Amino acid sequence: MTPIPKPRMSRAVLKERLPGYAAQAVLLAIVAWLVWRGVMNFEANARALGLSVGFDFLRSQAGFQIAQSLIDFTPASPYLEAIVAATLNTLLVVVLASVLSTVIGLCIAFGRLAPPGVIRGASAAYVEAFRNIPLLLQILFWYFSAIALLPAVDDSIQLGPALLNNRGLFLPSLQFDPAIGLNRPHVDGFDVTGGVVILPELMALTLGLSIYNSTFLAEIFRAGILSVPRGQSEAAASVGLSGIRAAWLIVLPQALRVALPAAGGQYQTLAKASSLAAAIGYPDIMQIVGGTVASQTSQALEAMTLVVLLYAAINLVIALIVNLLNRRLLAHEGR
Amino acid sequence: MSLQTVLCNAGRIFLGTAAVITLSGVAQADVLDDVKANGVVKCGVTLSSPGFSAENNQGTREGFDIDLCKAIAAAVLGDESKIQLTPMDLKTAFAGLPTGVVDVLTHRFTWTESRDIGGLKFPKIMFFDGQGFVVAKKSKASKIADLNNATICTLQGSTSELIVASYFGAHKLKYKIVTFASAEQAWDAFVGKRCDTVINDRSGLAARLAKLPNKDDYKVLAETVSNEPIGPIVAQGQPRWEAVVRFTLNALVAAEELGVTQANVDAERNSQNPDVQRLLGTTGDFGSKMGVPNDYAYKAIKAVGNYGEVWDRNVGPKTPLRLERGRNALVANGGLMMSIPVR
Repeated sequence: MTPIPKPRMSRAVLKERLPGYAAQAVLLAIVAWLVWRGVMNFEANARALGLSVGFDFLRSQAGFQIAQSLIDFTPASPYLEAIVAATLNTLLVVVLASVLSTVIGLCIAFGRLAPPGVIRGASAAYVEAFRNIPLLLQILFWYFSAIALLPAVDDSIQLGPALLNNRGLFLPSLQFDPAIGLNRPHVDGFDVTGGVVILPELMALTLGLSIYNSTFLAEIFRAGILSVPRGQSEAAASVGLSGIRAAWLIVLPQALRVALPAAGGQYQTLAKASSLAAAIGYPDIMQIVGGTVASQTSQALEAMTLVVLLYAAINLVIALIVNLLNRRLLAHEGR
Repeated sequence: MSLQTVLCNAGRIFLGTAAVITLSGVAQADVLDDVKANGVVKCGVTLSSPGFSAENNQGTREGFDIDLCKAIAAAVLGDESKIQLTPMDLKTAFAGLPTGVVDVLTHRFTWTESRDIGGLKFPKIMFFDGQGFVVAKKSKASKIADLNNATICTLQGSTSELIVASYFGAHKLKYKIVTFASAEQAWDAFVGKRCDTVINDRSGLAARLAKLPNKDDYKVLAETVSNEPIGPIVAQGQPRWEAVVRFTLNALVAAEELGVTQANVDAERNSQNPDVQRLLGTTGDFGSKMGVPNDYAYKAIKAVGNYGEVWDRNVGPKTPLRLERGRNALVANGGLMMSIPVR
């Protein structure tokens, strides 16, 4: 790819474009002024109402516990750490569900393109069934069936060193203290001690988000695959590539070029839909920041602003990653 | 630059200016004036809590909290039906009150220091409650100390979260907590055995248990782990409105103390008792000093009855909730409920 040299702007071109630049500058100034007026007005009204405004509360002690935290969080930790823990929980479920839905989506896409038969019919049925049921309903279904079907702690299912019950899936973990070894989970009164736990809330949310979004991704991937001319796979077959190798080496890279921008939008939808976590008690951004922090501090507007900014940031990062991938893909294809 | 772009930009600028005018308006005027101008009292209520705020078979919402809203409407507007009920969870309630979505929260929220300082004003405690735990009857736990390592379900952002953290911390008990957006979901998860126990106000637990077909499979642990003073909430910076709400609620309690009921309130207007005369506005000018009619308390009592009648009708021993007055009995009967002197 050769960079196109930037043409020097001639005086005539500048003259022609000047009113446009001026209008943009004026517009920018007006928008900035609007935002400034809005903020000032909010502050003035808040002061008139005697509300304390600001983010000083982030440093005070949270005083509550979080069910699942990737960082070391106790009730003595400040609100800021609660927000970090909640954000990591959201990112965890978004990453897990994105990977899982991509894998399922790819399988279903190829399934729908298989010769007419059981696989093709089942794939189509899968898409139609799960695409047309509201996501919240699906998440609640997985959650309440999980806790209804899984046994109580005393009747845990033993899966090798792991334990499965209605408190979650308890996996053994590595421990370094007191001695290096395996920390095996074991039943201890009401609960299981040791190991790491995958909460039923995380399981249900990941499953619900993955299945729902995989149907949309499957259709996007299918459109991408269909956009690759038949000649490509025929050519691949004629040079002796097997079906799977042809799909992986020839068809998918070209299909991805069409599918990636649309799929990116779908990953953003998934990230936003993860906020349905609040319905089943998974401690994500919406639940911890928009719920607990907002109410315990009475700083609902600040907390909600943080929720907005965090979701916007997560979605912008996804957009950035997709754009970078897309650019690499296009550069690779020599376009 | 084409003409089209110019017009387009001009349009944007116009829209921007309109937005500025909207933004620069004062967020909230005097709520009492607004209520009178709108001819309706907007109350935020719980989504569903039988006995306090729940829809009956005809689809109308009724309960203890709804009666308080009706009393306020009757006092200010002279008509108990001029209410607009908005079911709200904690998030929407605390964000909606200061911005004027509702005028008052006749809800189940506890008066705490942080909420008060944060701009939520509680004119009068109308319900003295305390939090407790429910467990399955066949559970290993018979007291809170047995709940070591237990999983607890509760409502996110509620005082319960803090109470559990401090109580279990102080008693060196380990626990896991799962918090839900609504009390219903927390309760469903507990009934679905996701949790060993659920914590809530004892009145709330009674309301939930009343709805269960197999309520005998559960027991409420005897210990009460907190004091929960509960009452309606108004936004900070509205002294007139706050006074109207406070003394309307107060009138219901004062009426019970003085033996004024929904049935005899008309006759009591001729009472020679100066306390009753001041309460019902046949003498004095407390009402007009607050900006409502002098007989505001008469209207409120006529609409919903006195405090004891509101209690008995919605949550008392003859209702599914079967709540005894307990702490909410009048001081004269050994409880905590008393009126601010009407003088």
